[in-house]
Amino acid sequence: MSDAKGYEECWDLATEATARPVEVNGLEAAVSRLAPRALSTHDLPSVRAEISAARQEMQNGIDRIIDQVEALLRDQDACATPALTMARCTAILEACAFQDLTGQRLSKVSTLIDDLEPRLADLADQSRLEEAVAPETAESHRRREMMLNGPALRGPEVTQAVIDDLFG
Amino acid sequence: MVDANMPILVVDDYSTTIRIVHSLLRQLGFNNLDEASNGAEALKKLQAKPHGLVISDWNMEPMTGYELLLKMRADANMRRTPFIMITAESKTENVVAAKQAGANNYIVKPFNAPTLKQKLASIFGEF
Repeated sequence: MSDAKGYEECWDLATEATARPVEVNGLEAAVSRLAPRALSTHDLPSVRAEISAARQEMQNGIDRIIDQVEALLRDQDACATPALTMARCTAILEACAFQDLTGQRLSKVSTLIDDLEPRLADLADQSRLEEAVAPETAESHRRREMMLNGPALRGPEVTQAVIDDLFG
Repeated sequence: MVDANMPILVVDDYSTTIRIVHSLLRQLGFNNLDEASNGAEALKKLQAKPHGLVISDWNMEPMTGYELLLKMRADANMRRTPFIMITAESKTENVVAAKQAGANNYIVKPFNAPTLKQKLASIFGEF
């Protein structure tokens, strides 16, 4: 082999090795669109803060409502005046305003999920890698062992009537 | 005749549920009401003082209501203490496991006052 031919072959091999396949370019673009840094430093912490605030607002609202209901029940014994009953009912109505605030906070969470979903789908399409199965964590192991499923999405899976039959 | 002064322990990690159940129990005439926010705290209270009834949620940390029930049924002093599970866990496996572990009754959330009264009546008789 001549020096020139050898050089040419080496050049071709080096070019091939350093060429960026289309797939890599696509994957990079998908990762860029996903914006993982913005997600981890801003978007997800913001969502966590919104959920936390919504929880607190719900708790405050419910506490105010229960306070008034308990007072109404006590007032029954004390023969409260209609004006006092009216004031307590008004306070309950005012406390229900938490639903507006928490609804707006949950809308922000929904918006992020709606925004994130196609970006993740895009990344999944671009990635040809086989996805690893996440190992069971101690927390998920405990949830499985202790049958901690939480509320079903569309109401109880087993109705109270069926439960009553079982407990006879 | 049920003793209106018997101590009743309500166990839930949501204070709202404890307040709701306490309020319903007071309307039914019970006035010696206690509370705990998880199974471990409940077990300590039960070991310190006998209670006439335990009403417990299932999903709590660090000890679930199901674990509390198992521990109560394994303890000679608490083996016969009536236990009602009030929970959002509504899979068949949960209901069957609670029954097998010795729960006296099972109420699925959300629940109402008549349901609670009916379950109490099934344990203590009409009142």
